[in-house]
Amino acid sequence: MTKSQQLSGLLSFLLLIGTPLTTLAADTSDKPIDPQKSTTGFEIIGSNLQFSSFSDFKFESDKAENIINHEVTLHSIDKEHTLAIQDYRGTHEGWTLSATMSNVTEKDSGRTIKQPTLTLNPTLSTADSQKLAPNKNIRLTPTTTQPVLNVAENSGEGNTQLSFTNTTITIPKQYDISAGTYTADLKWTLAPITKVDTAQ
Amino acid sequence: MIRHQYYCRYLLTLVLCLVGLNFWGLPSQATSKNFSTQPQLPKNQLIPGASYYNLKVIPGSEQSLTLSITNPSDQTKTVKVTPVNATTADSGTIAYVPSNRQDESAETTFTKMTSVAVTVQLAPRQQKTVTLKTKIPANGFQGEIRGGLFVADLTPSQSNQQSNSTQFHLNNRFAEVTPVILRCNIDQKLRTNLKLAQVTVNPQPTVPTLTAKLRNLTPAAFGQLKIQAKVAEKATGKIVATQTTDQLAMAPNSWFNHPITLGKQTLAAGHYILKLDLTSGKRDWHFEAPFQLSKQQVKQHNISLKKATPARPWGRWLLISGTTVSLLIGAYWLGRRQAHS
Repeated sequence: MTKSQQLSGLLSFLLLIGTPLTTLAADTSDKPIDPQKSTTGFEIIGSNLQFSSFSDFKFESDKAENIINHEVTLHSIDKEHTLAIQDYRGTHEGWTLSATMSNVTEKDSGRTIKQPTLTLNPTLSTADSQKLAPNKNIRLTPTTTQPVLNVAENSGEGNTQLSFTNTTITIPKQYDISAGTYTADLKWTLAPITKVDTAQ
Repeated sequence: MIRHQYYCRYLLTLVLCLVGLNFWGLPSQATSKNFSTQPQLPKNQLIPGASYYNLKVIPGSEQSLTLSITNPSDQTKTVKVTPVNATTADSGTIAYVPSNRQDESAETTFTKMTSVAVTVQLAPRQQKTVTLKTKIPANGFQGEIRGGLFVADLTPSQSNQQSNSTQFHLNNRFAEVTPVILRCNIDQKLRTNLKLAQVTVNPQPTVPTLTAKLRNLTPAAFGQLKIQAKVAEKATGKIVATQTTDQLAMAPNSWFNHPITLGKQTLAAGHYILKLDLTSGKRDWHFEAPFQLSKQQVKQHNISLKKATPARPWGRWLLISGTTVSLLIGAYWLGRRQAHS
């Protein structure tokens, strides 16, 4: 057997194993092919609206003495956080991403910080769809919900990536602050946009 | 030798193409590590193919709401499916999140009609369906009932599991919600009834702002709401602040605190009036309410104005440069004119 014969044999074998499984499955159909009525239609199946998780926000620490005497702004230690959203539904309905912060509580005592404000500054890193504008300078106080990005109908399809930089938490002056480790939950909620009429 | 290299390259290219073809034939892998949800729409769905429930329901019946939940990640996830009522967030958007906000005008709510929350554990790459039951009142209901199936990931985030740090920490939690809109009579149009419940001066730690609590007493959501706010001195009627906000929406039988800033003018302590003009489609409303600003509040406001005024030396330099250039051109033109004469 010559080299070229060896190669062609190998190529034939590779072609055989390289045939997509879907093609083989399609061939097993029992329906006879009608030459007069060849079907050219096909179906595109939509899937989900989903997002990927990203790492928690950690902030620099400060002395209780400073918070007792004046307002303090703590900055996120990580320079950047990214959040990716995938709209693979194929419905063009649009979607909304919102954020809700819980009370900020001390790990052991359960004491809460009074009137903290979390400031989020999202920017669009990448997006398949055009004309998306995340809200700027989003201020979250405990238990309030704020929209981060509202995507109208016929936009926001495919992949969208948001970048969060310069995230801060501002704690107003309070004489009764407890020293300790504070945590809060930051809930990110993704929802499809529903059609709403004007007032009647 | 050269021929051999040529064959090798050809073979390698072909192998890569074939490997690519094989993957092309398989379903694409989910890039997200989070869970995803998809409603299984029943026959009484009004908008086919939507990614939320919009149902015509029959009084006295039991409506099943089935949701597929998929865990595409390689770790076990625990999720909780909770029925929630639609509320209006202070940003003027319809929110489908767990909330204590309720308006007493509601005849009934989605959470009152629906079975309790369900917790589900999903193995890696597992899909499960969850069904919640909604009992429609025997006499039906007016307008629409709006809520959602709120699916929250209860699995602690990785950094939270590993952390022993003493720093301030925000734990990210992820949730997806599928809105649910129920109607007994789809042709029913209800006249929107809006009210201004109260105006308060918000006790912000630094800058005082106003909040106007607006109520939608109608069991119907509406959108494209525009609010024009004016703050006037009570004694003189002089407008000291204006603000326009549009593209707002309200959930049925809900309220929200619309924030209004006090503008950029220096204010004096005393009595003021907030005037609100609201429009949505062909409807419009006008509301007025008095409020009072204390000495401390106007002091905070006036101090914030001084801080906010940016020092813009470049503006001054631009003015000086412009004037100098104009003078030089003028002098040159005059000089030439004199030389000609």
